[in-house]
Amino acid sequence: MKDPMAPYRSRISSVVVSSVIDTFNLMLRQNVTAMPVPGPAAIGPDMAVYACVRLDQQDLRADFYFSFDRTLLLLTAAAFYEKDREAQPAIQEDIACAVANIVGGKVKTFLNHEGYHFEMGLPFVAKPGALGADDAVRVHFSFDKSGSNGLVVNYVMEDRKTGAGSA
Amino acid sequence: MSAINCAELAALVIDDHMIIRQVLEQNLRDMGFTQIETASNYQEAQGKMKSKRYDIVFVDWILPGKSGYSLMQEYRQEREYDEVAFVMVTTETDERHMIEALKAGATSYIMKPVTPNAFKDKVAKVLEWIVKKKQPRATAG
Repeated sequence: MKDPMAPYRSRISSVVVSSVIDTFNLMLRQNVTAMPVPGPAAIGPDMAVYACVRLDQQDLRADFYFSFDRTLLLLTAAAFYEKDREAQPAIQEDIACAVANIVGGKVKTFLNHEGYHFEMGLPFVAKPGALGADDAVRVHFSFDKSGSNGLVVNYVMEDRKTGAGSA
Repeated sequence: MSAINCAELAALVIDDHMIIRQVLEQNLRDMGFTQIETASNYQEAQGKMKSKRYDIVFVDWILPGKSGYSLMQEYRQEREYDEVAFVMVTTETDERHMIEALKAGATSYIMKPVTPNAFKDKVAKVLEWIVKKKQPRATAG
């Protein structure tokens, strides 16, 4: 079956890259860079915060999963909150969802410019098990000079009518 | 820059994400605002707006439950809020979306991610709008 979103994948990834970098570097005072290949060490579940946002249009669905290294969220929180609040899980999850919201919104705008009519749901904190299919498209970001994984964005798309999709 | 003392203006920031409220608040403080309150949803915002008069309201387009867009539309229809500036904050970059907001009564809009320079430029224009709105009242009184 033909994946209707296939022609847009690389451009969606570009939108993800630019919106993640703008959000962290221009708004959240961090220094995040996109990595062409994943860093050497994956983000361990103990050190990860997961967020998800879903775009929906009748038979089409696109899920964006965000795996944040807690250290990146901690650094971000430290730039905006008092010392006693920066380590609070709720603060870190809020940052994760706020980033997911902005990135999802930019992708939605891009796809709707291409003639789709996606609506975006509210972002939510996801469980590690819900990280998307193995064949999801992955976009990797580093937040320090060591090139370690600071954020991985996975996205999968599904045509619910034909069953085609994923990445 | 408009001839207005930001410290004299009361601002309300409505967004469901704490970090966005923090970002907007810090940008406002950098511009000299000192009277800043926040709300995380429609109901909380409504409660605050009933009990206090704000000069400038920053409202996220999409809030859980009733949207920020609805809030802006509702208050815009009431005459007593004519001089209140409503600034829509949104991830949308579609021009049609912005035109719709401005037609519905938004004074301006700011796109997320919010960057300090863009924020300052937009708010400076909103301050000019506030000055103009306040002028007739000042000369008449």
